[in-house]
Parts: sequence; C-alpha cells; structure tokens
Amino acid sequence: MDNQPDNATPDRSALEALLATVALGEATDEQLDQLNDILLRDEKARELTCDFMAGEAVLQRHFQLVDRVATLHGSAHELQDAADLEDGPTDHRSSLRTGPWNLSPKTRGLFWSVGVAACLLLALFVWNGDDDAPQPSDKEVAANESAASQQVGTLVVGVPPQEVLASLEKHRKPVRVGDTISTDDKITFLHFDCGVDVLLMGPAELSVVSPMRAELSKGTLTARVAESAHGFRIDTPNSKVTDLGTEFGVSVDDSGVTDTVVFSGKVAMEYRQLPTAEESRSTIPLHKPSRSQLLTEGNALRVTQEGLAERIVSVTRSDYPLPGTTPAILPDAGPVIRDVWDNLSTRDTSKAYQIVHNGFREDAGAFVDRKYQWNGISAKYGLPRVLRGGDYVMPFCDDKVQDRIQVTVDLARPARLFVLLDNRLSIPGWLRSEFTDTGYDVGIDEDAFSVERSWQQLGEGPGVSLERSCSVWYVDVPNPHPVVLGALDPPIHWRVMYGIVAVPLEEALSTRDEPVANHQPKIGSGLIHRGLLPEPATICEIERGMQYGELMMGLPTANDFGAVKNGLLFRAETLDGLLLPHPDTTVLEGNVAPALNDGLLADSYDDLKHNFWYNGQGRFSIDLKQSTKLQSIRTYSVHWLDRSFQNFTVWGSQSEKMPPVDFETAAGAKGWELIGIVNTDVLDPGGLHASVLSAGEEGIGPYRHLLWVLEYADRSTFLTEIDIFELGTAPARPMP
Amino acid sequence: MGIPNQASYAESSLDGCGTEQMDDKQISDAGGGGNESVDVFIRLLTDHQVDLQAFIMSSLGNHPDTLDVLQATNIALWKKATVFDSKAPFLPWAIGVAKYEVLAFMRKRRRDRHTFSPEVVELLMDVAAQRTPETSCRSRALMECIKELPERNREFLQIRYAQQQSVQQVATKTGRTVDAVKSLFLRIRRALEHCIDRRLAIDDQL
Repeated sequence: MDNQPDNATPDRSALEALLATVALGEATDEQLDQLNDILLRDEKARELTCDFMAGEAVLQRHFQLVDRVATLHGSAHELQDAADLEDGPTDHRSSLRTGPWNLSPKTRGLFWSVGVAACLLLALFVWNGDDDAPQPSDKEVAANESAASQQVGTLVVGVPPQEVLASLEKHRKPVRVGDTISTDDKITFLHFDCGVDVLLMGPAELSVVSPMRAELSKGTLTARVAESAHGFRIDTPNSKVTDLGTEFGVSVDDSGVTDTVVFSGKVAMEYRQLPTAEESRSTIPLHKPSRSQLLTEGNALRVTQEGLAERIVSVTRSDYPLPGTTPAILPDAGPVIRDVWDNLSTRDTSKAYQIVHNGFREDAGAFVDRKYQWNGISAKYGLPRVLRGGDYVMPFCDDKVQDRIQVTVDLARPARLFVLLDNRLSIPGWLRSEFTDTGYDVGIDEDAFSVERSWQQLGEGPGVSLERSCSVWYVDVPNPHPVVLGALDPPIHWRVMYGIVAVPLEEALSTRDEPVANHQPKIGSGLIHRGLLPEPATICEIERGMQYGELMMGLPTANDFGAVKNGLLFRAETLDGLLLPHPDTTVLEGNVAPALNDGLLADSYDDLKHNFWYNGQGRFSIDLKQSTKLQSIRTYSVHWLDRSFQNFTVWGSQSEKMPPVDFETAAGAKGWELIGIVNTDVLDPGGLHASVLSAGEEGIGPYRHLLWVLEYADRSTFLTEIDIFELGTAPARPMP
Repeated sequence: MGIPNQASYAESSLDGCGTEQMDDKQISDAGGGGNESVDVFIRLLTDHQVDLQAFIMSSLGNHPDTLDVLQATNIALWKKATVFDSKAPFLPWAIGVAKYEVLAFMRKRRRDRHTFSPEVVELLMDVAAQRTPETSCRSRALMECIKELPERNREFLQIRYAQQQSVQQVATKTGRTVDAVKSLFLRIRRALEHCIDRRLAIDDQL
C-alpha cells in the first residue's frame, strides 16, 4: 500500500487542513473516510498525522492544566469537607480511602490530566483508592500521620521584609502543621520549606493546614512561590487561591470579603458564597456552588460575602510588600496620588491599577500586565530629577486599545502631574490642550513579551537596553482634585499605554531645571523620534510580504540609478572603527558594501551572502557622483524574524564633499537634510519588509550624497537591496 | 558560517531532549527496593504521562477516547509495577502496555464510529511507537513554542482547549465567524509546527 505512485501522495497542506478539521471535531463522515483512505496508503501521511495528533495531546494537557487545577482542588476538597463532617476532623487514613475512583469518569480523567504531575502525595492519594492497587506501606501511612507534628516552615517576627531572609538563622521559630499564627505585628515572615515565602501583615490570623496549604482568616499576606511549590494554596472564608507559579497577595477583612491580587505569574481561584450562621451550625454537609477563575499578572478580584466576584479597580503596592523587597516609606505629608479609577467595567477587564507611592525610580515596573520598566534615557543622567521618587500609577498596557477609556487620578495634595506618552504616537487632543511638554524623554525597557519581541531582555539601570522612549508632559494642579486623562489617539497595538507620575507641587517648583538634551535620545540610539527631528522631505510607505512578488511597491531591481553597474558604491561609515558592520557580512576594500546595490537578492530568510547588516548602530553612504534629483528610494530587508525590521533615517547632502557623518542630533547634522524616516515596527516580524521614500512629482533633492543612519538594535536589519531612482525613472507599481 | 547571535536562541532551545534513556537509568540507579521502588515507579509514570498521552492520541485521534485509554493504561501499568524491570527503559515498556489498551478499547467499542478505522489505528500505533523518541522531543519543543505564541493566539487556544469549546462556541466567544476560527486554528497549528521544526533544527546544529 505504501508503493502508490507519487501523484497519490496527498498534499501536506491539504492533509494538515483535514487533520485540523478532525481535531476541531468538525469532520464529516466523508472527510473521515478520505483521511482513513490516505492513511492506509501513505506512510508519510501517517507520520504527519502522528506528529499532529501528538501535538494535540500536548496542547490539550497544557491548556487544561491551568484551568483545571482550580477545579481539581474544588472537587477534591468538597469530598474532603464531606468526609470531615461525617468522620470528624482530618484523618489521613480516611482521606486516603476517599480516592478519585469515587468520582465520575470525567473527573478521574482529570486526575490523570494533572494529578500525576502534581506531587507524590497526590499520586498516592489517587492510587490507594483502587482495591486492586497495593495499599500504602506502613511507612507511608506513618509519614502521613506524623504530618500533623511535622515542621513545615520557619517563622520570623518583627524583621523588615528586606532583611528577613538574612535573619532566618538568628530569629527563626519552627512552624508545624496545625499551628495558627495570630499576630498584631506589622510584618511577620513565614517560610514554607516547600519553597514559599509569605509576609503576613497584622492584625492577621493564618493556620497551617498542610505543608502546601494555609488558611487566612483575617489580615493580609503576600506570597512568593518557588517552582517547587506550584500548587501551594491559601484558603480564606470564601475563596481558595492556588498558586500556579507567582507572586500574589490575599487580603481578608472582618466580614470575610477576600481580595486577591496577582503581581506576577498566575493563580487559580475558586470562590463561593459564605455560609450563613445557620448553615455553619448545621451538621449536614452543605455545598454552595463554587466558581473558578484564572487570575493572571495584573489581575485583582474581590469576592464579596455573597460570593460575587468584583473587579478591584486599584491597589496600593505598599499594602502588599513582597518578601525580600524594601517597603516604600511614605512621606510625613502623606501620598500625592490618593486613588485612581477608570470608566471600564468588570466585563471589560479584571486588571487593577497599582499605585506605587514614592516608587518612580530606575527599573520601576511600568505596567501591571507587562514586565516593562521605566528608565532614564541616558546612562549618565538617569531619570529626570523632577520625576525621581514620585508617586506613580502602573496602568494596564493593554488599555492602549481602549478607545473610550478615561483614567481619573485623584490627587491628595497640590501636585505636578506627569503623563509619559509613547513617542511613536500622535499627541492626543486632551494632552495637547491641558498639558505642557517638558522636552524630557524617559525610556522603557521591555522584556521578551511575545514571539514578536522574543529577543528583548531587561537590562539594569538607566540607558541600558531600552526599546522605547516616552515624552514627559505635565500639568500643575495647585488645588487637588481628580484629573481625567483620555485615550491614546488612535488606540493601537505595538505601542504602550501612557505612564502617570505625580510629585508634590512645591518639590517640582523647587527642582532645578536640567538641560533637555540630557534626557533626549541621540540619533542612532534606537530611540530617536519625530519630535527630535526636522520635518523630512519625503513620506514613507512600508509593506510586508513573504515573497518579492507580493509587494505592491514593486520588485527590487539591478537597473536602478543607484545600482553598482552604474559605478555607484555604498560604503560603510565606520567612524574610525566605532560602527563596524557585522564580521560575517561582506565588506570590500574601501568599506564597500556590495550587497546593498548589486541586484542580488536574499533567497532565504537567513541569507548571509546577499545581506548587509550590523549588530548595533550602523551608518553607510553613497556618492551619486553628481547632484541628482531623485524620485524614490526603496529599501528591502529579509529575515525569518527580528532582522526584517527597518528602523533608520536617510539624509541627503548637495555638497560635493560629503559632510561629517558622526552627528548625534539634528542640530549637529551640519550640511545634511533629512530625507526620510523609516520604521517598520508596526508590521509583523519576519519575512520581507520593504519601504519606499518619495515626495510626489517634484521629486527629492537634488543630492550628491546620501547617508543611512541605522537606529540601534542588538540584532540589526538584514538589508538585501536598496534601489535609488532618478526622477522620472522609477518603474510603475504593479496593479493590485 | 552560522546565524549571527545564535546563542540567544540556543538558550531557549531544547534542554535534555534525547536523554530520556539516561534519565530513566539515573532514576533506576537511585531506586532501591521496597518503598523506594514505589517512588521510582511513580516518578517514571509521572514523567512519561505526556509521552503516553501523545502516543494514544496519535493512534486514536480523539481526545475523550484518549483520556479513557490513558486512564486504563495507567491502571494497567500500576498493576504490572511489580513485574517491571527497573533496569530496563520505562517508556518502551509503557508504550507496549498502552498499545494493548488501545487495541482493547477498539475491540470493546468496535460498533462505534471512530476517527480512525481499526486498520488505520494499528498502522498509526506502529508509526507512533517507532517515533516515540522523536515525539518526545517534539513535545518539549512544542511546550517552548507555546510560550512564543502571541498572547492573543494563546488566549484563543486557551478557550479552545481549556474550556473544551466547540468551534461555534469559540466563534461566538471571540467574535469571529466559524470559518475564521477554523482558519485561525489551522494557522496557529502550522506556526507551531514551523516553530518545532526550527527549534529541532537549531538543536541539531548545536
């Protein structure tokens, strides 16, 4: 059957589509018959099918794990609670007997989906319910029985959170299962041996139920959970918060209302209505229906007495100091930002703004739903002095796409309120009319948020590995009142939400102004923006495709005015060795870069032969040999991911002798005119990126010299061809 | 000539893929008699749940059936724990048991319509058993590739898999048409396959 002629082999793409239809449960009988026919006769199809279906199994396991851990705990503990009511307090033998074999087949499957991977204890819990399975050994039973007196952690009282880890040896007291920690101390540190650090903010009461579980009856705690302790759980009167690898905070008030905030990672949350007084006295097990929800980074949820989940609009970080961190010291005069809220509903988002008092400093977290950080643009000058130590709000980066959002900042004192706006955005009307541009910029350091930005890494301190710059706008508010901020214009992906900082007005007025140049990015730094550049002579159009033939702006050509066959050469401008092309790229004598205009195109997404590239900044020029009026400049780049992005400026000079090329500011670009600004970062990464600079019928220039200034990137553009067209010579664009 | 800055990709490439045999042996070496053997067995069974589920899913092509057979396989493996030679590799032995459970399932449900015909199931089982080491590597690569997915695509898969929603339900929930959901699902799966191949290719180069 495997010896069918080649033309019987199904097309891979068609087979993938068929398998996807089957996986989605949408296949008709005819399609299943077709698939079976293919698989009977074709070995390659069987291999592809095995790979595809194995992938389905992995995806099913992965995506069910997160949601189902919450369900697992709910189901297991409902049984446990019922057993407790029937048999008295926790008996490890009886809980071992109450295995999942009493559950529905679906739930048993669930145990196998997640339970086996959870921990050894749980595995025994599962196995020993089977009559045919071996019973636990005496040693195992004894181990469980002795758990009640087993030390599971260490307690340290009255030590500042940042010093607590160092104080463990000196001040520690053992904590055992069954212990209840009731404290009025401001800070109590509890370390669970499984790998969980907990800070308890008194007055609070916490009972240790097991090595991996504790009950918080009142007060606030924060937890940092190591990978070894995923599955660690905090119970409150109406909620169960199960860690899935995270930093989180839980707060319980006197009425049992529970607030949960996730600072990093995610937690599974199960919650229900509190029992009434009658129900609490009843000896009959009563199980109110529970709900489950996954909370991710930046999410916060309040569970009311009625068991209803409500969005928490804002939290104050100083209420939730994390283990090992230095708590913010509030000024005597009190905070500047009292509160922040928006016009979104629980349906729109479950994220909470975080107010950080006195927290605006280098590497301060920028958004609740990203690990981005604020930093000064310049390593030498850092953040502008006026901003340092200010109160600030961590908003949701995803709010950038909320077109009707209104964020209200309630100021407690006379203040200078700052808005930090992504420089890639146009300036919204509400900002332009009410606020003033300081001229300062600040940077954002981004982590590898997604595959589109998978190469990014967080750096430390100012001026290090910054990806974005934001302009700093301010308004003085002498009479404290709520200030309403609007939406971005237009709301857009691939940009960031604005930041909000406030400082006491008297401090802002007494802070000496700094030269704005100290806080503005340089040309070539990777952060340059239109606000720091003159108006360019051209408009820029950009495009992305997977094949050259897809491009609406036309194919690259070896017959353009700037082609090597016309005797024109691109030369790398090394600035005395400061800016060197990548050692693997071809550079000829005289720093000639032939790949840029030889008409030979990259024929793969990783073509090292037909591309010219840098790591970091780069500059190169071309001498047109005579002053020439241009029609357009097209630039093509090809890479399978990040090196396809184009981010550069093009400059032109009419002088016979090329002016200096080592300028860092627009004012310093003596003898040069800005022709165009190219940035393709709004396109998806990978494939073919293309840009064209043009200025209509009058053309561009005339220019004798052209200069490209590539903005800094760790992994800079794979440039495969640059086509320069004299006025009237550019080929017509293909018809759509 | 290599890809510039390849190290940044190598850091996130597969770790330990292809060392399954050694891991098993290490576990075997650590295991003694009595309760330690139980611990070792549970550890092996736990570590290979993904491989077993992938093998069964490859053979049956249906998720609910796969869970049923996986459960039966786990029970069977546990019952055979005492005859397991801890010096031998665990996975081939476990796959052998799983094969038997797949066949038993097909016999028991012979009157039902399945994704694959009994003949095709047998053929697929052979391929899946032969490809177990490769599938194991692909599974690990896939776990890394999931992390690389854009958040919106991960959310889409979360709705699809975690909540076991039908295509129609996913379409309603995400504001797309049914055809758009199908198309997006296929695009994501292809992107993941491409990512797996890329990661494995990089791993081969290292």
